[in-house]
Order: sequence, then structure tokens, then C-alpha cells
Amino acid sequence: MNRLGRAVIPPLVAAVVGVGVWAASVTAFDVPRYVLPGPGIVAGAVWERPGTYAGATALTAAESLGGFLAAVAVGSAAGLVFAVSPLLRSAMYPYAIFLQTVPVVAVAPLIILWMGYGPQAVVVVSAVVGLFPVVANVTAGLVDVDPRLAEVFALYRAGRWRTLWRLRVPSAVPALVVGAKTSAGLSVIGAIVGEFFTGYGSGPRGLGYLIRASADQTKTADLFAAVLLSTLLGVALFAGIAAVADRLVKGSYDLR
Amino acid sequence: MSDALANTADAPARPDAGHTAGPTRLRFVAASRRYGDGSGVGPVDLDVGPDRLTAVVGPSGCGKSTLLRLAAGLEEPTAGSIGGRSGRVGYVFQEPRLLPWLTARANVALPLELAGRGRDEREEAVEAALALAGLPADSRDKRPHELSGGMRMRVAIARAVVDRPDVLLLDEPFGALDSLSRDTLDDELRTLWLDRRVPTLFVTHDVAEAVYVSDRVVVLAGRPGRVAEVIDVPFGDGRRAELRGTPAFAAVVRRALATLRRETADGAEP
Repeated sequence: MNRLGRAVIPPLVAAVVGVGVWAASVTAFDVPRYVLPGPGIVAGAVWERPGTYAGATALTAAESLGGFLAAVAVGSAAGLVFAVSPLLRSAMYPYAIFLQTVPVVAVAPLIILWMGYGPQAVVVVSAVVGLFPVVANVTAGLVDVDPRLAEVFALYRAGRWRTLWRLRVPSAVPALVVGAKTSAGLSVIGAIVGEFFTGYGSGPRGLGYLIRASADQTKTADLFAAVLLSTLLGVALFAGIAAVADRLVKGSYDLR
Repeated sequence: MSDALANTADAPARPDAGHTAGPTRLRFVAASRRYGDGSGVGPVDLDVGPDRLTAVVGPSGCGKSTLLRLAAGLEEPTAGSIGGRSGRVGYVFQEPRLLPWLTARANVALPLELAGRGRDEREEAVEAALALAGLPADSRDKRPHELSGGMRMRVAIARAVVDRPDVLLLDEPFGALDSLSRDTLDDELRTLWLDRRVPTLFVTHDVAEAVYVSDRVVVLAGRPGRVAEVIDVPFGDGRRAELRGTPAFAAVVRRALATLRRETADGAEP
């Protein structure tokens, strides 16, 4: 079995076994459909309205990606500012931590109030959720540079800005990758939470709205379908970002 | 600036142009550097000119590295003074200290880039330095993790000499290499120095290596380290591997070792 096979086949087998156990239990214990529908019924719910699910998944994917990219851009910029100015770092960093501790469910309605009901607000909620891991990792990556390499730059009398661009920024790439991977998963969660609140508007509807609407109407099969699609979306976004990011640092950072 | 430009432009044809009789001398005058725990180096009086390659040997902890850091301006003396530090410094550390995300070429170009040299000038100087340090052409676009320890050290040496330093400092550069690579690099370092003739301090804990590479061995001993003896090495410019097996070579090595043993027995070691 090659490397790809080892990475893909075992989880695939686990998924097949899991779905099998799920289907068997529902039949064996005669579980009511509104409590736990079997896999066939969940698949049927998607089959009935493929356009709705495809559209919702695409919208949530776009919002998550937008939120993720915004988190990486804003987070990296904030990390740069924090790395350049210790004063600003000590002044502002506690509030960056604040971002992580404030429950997003509580802040989302406020953001939507400011941004209006629609995808733009969802992107902002998603970005807020994904921001902290990027800020924290990029700041640490820019500040904690290998002192032996810093000494090489000192030897050549490199100024502060040259040292920043030629040493600190490249040194921080692995940390950015770690932050971005964490942020990728979180941004989907942020988008779903955002959609819980924006769905009532007249605009296009994402998976978060489907989750909420089907829960309200006890359409458990639809609820399951939306939850599964959200999970798959999270995994796909994480895997995609991780693949790109790992390529970026592969081999180049394991040695000084 | 224009002087430096001229030198580098001449580099391929006349590698030592303008530097043969360079005015730079590294002068330690009662210089010492003490740390809180009583370790450090000095006071040291030492004059390092471009005419002789100077090696520094001594037991670990006697301040050999500190001596180089003082010479490079990475640290300031706590007493005394050091002259000749204003020029460009080439420094080879114990580890190659290359930037892992850059190719060998780009690593060597770094000092030129940080000094603001132009692109054409950079390319020419980088190729010349890599050739001088003996890095094969097919390794020049590789990144450090793709190179062996010896090749990485060659890149570090090329980086140290690429900007035509006024002073060259080497801190046990070959200590981590196998003895074969080490002997080869000892030879090449000697050749490189003959080519450049700048004031050079070569630190090592291996007395035989010091004698083979240098024209003068400074024995540093004690804690904080002081100059215990300065031994002239009378083997001329060109050296061959056979020299290591001659009685004359062994005699110089024995003399340095005797000094080291005597100084260490005097109570410097606990």
C-alpha cells in the first residue's frame, strides 16, 4: 500500500463500518425517524433537494473561505505590528486574547446588527473566530527568532527593517502555517454560527440556516444532512489549507 | 564604497587585489570580558596582522569564542580595548548558521544584499566565493537541508568571505565534521587564506589542526583565559598532508600541548 493509500483507505473503511453500524442500529432498535434517521433516509433528504444543499454548501464554503482569508490577512498584519512595536504589543495583545474568550454566539448578533443581514456579516463572524490563532502564532513566530541567526544579521549590521523582512518574516512562516490550519477549521464554525442568525433575511441561505430551520421543524433527516455537510466542509477546508501550507514549509524549515 | 566595488570587479582576475597590504590589524590591548560567573577572557594583548594566520587553542571554557565575539564587535570588552573592528568582518560560527529557506547561493549573497550591493556585483562575487570555498556547481542551488555537513560549512565559509572582509574569524568551524572532511577543509582554509591575506583568527580545540593550518598558535588557558604562550609555526606558506607525520610537526604540537597541560595543572581546572 502506498503512502496515499495508507492515509485514505483506513479512514474510508472506518466510515463504511460506522455507517453500517448506524444503519443496523436504527433497524435493530426500531429508533423513531425524528430521533435518529438511518443513513438511507439522510441521503434521501439530500437527494430530494440537491439544489438546496449544493447551494447552501457552496455559500457556506465561500463565506468560510472569505472569513479564513480575512483572518489570515488581518491576523498577519496585527502580528507584524506587534512584532515591530513592543509597546503596541503590550498595549493590544490582551485584547487579542479577548477575541478568543468572548463567546462568538454572543457577539454574532451584534456583528450582524452592524453589518446587516447577509453573507458579508457571516464572513466577519467567521473571520473573528479564526483571527486569534493567526495573531498568536504569527506574533510568536516573528518575535521568537533563532538567536543564532539573529546574531548573523547583527554581524552584518542589518537594520531593523531588513532584519524584519529577511529574517523574521521568513522565520515566522511555519508559525503562520500552524495558525492558518487552526483557523481553517474554526472559520467554518464561525460561518455556521453566523448563519444561525442571518438566515432570517431574504438573501441566499447556507448550511447554518438549514441546520436551524430543520431543527425548528424537527426535520431530523435534513438536520443530519446539513450537519454532515458542515463537517465535511470543515474537513475539506482544513485538508486543502493544510496541503497548501505544508508544501510551503516542506523541507525548508527543519534545519539551521 | 567605490573602492569596494573596484575590488570585487577585479575579483576573478586578481583575487587579492587591494587587500594584500590592507591596513587593518586586529589589536587587543589589555582587553578582557568578564561574565558574572567569573568566566570570560583576558586581559589579552594580541596583535593580529594580515601576514600570518593566527590560530587560538585552549581548553573549553577558556574564552576562545568570547575572544572572537569581541573581535567581531558582537560583544564589548569590560576592560581594555580592541582596535581594527571598524571594517567588514567575516565570521564562521561553530554551526553553519545558514538560513534554511534560502539556497546556498542566496545564503552566500546575504552579506552583499544586507550591505546594499548591486545585483550584478552580487552574482559575480557569490560565484567567486563559492568556487573559493569549494562548493560544487551542482550544489549551489540546493538548500541547506539537502547538503552534507561539510558542504554546509563550505557555504558558511563562502558567506564569510564573499564581501571581502577586512578580518576573518573562525570559531571551531570543522569541529562537528568527520576527520577526512576536516583535513580537506583545513587544507582549503589555508589556501583560501593565502589567497586573501587578511588578519585571521582560527579557533580550535585541536592542537594538531591549529599547527597545521596556522603560522602562529596562541595558547589560551585559565579561567578567565589568558595568553599562556605564542608559538611560531615555521612551515611556510604551502602545506601538504605529509607534514602532519613529520617530527618537526610533532615537536610544535608537543610544545603547545605541554603548555596547555602545565597551565591547566596550575589550578585553573577544578
